[in-house]
Amino acid sequence: MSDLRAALCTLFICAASACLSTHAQDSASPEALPPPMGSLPLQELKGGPVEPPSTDPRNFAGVWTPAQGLFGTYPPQNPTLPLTPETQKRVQRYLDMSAGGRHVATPHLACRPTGVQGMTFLKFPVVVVQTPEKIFFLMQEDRDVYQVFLNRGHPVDLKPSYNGDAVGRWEGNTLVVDVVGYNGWGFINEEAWSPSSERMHLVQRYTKSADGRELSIETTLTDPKFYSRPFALNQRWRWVSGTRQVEYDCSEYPPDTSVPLMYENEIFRPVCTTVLSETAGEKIVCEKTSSPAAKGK
Amino acid sequence: MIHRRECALIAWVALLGICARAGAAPTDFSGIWRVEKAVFAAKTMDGLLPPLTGAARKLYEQRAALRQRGDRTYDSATWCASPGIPRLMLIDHPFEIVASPRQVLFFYEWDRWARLVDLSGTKLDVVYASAMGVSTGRWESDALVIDTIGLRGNTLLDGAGLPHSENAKITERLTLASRDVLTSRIRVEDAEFYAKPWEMRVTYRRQPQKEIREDVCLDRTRLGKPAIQGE
Repeated sequence: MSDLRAALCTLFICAASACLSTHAQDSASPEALPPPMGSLPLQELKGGPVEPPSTDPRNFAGVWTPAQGLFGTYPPQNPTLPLTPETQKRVQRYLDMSAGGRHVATPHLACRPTGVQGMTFLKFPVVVVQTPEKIFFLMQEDRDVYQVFLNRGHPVDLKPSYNGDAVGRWEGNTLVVDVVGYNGWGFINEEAWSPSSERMHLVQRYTKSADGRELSIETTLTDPKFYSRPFALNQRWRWVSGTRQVEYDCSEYPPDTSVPLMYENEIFRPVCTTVLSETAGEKIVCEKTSSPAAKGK
Repeated sequence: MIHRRECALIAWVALLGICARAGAAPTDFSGIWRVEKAVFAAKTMDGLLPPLTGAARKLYEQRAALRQRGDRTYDSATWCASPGIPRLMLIDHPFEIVASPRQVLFFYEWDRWARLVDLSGTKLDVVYASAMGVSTGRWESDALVIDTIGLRGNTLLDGAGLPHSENAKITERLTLASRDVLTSRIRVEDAEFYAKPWEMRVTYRRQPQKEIREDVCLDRTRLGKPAIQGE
């Protein structure tokens, strides 16, 4: 799994870097370009608007990056998580399949919203846009927008979704975010196959440091379907004004059929694929779809 | 004497107007909007086909022929790649505008894309071409004027297959016709594919919905729905 993911990430970085090298010749401002590939993959750009962090402890607007660094070590490896015995078996099955070279399509690999993992582990810079009613977290990769609604509770008729429904309230200068309504298709850590269910409940506490340059996020996860007790995952973000995001369009090209994935959830099966043939070269083929195909986990 | 008093009155009213406008964004476009009439095949303000160069016209006609045969593989949005700018402003999916003095966020419901338009005056270099490009904006009286460059060449200007190059420049001029009606003049400059710059006009209506919902294009297409509503 991690090899495949690393390969996909490398593919993206190489493609982006290829674009970079193409455009390097056109740029009138060479000092704005990042160093050549190898020293810094195209994961973070400088040269954006610079401003100091807000002195308001309740204002998170601006650009943040994971304090542990880009591609930092993801903390929740399975031994630290309170997997139920059934979950342990499930996880072991996925691990065995991965070890055997059979990769199951996950939301991340299938270019879907990452859900729980995206909200509990930031890999790349995030832009926060804030209004009195909503806070938007603009994620670089997996590209997404997480919305936290500050002026309402959870809807009664909540439709399950990848990212769930996030509502926030202030406790002093700490933003407390409550997230429910997940569709259960995401993972806490795709690398370790730690699952999440539709019963997942996140409570996140966002607190800005006194100097405004660090945001601590304490997350408590409760998912009685897969975990024997609630547990915590914490992260820290650094203020990085002047940083620009790199666009990541996971769907820019249809998946290549030479990288086969197993589709336990049919909804992830691609409609269009890139077919490689020795005689015809590369061809995009799209199937005709007509009927609902989704199924639960 | 009367003439002097009138002049003073006019000057005072003008000064009040200037003071009232100072310090805040001239017009608040914040809210959720949806195109009044989706644009599948963009036309100029005169309702004509944009001034494609000879080679571009040939490409456009080839795409029309493919479409006639049910083949949409000329359009990367078919497999849910970002339609990019300006097409995300032409399709029948809502978007939210969050305006502040330093930036404007466009949050498109279509597959949850976001575009930040920088108003700070910072020169943002194009480091690589992308679907959304690099957008910078400024207020000109009551109009929000957005310049977008750095667009990658494999997106389309519209569903019919109008091409653009990586050197294209898109300028949007957004103005409020009324509280609930937003209009945009979209100017396309791209000497590689068009003999001269051309413009189109699009109108958006404010939506009663308060929130942008989670949209996952690949799930929709897997369930047999079109990648872009109505196309």
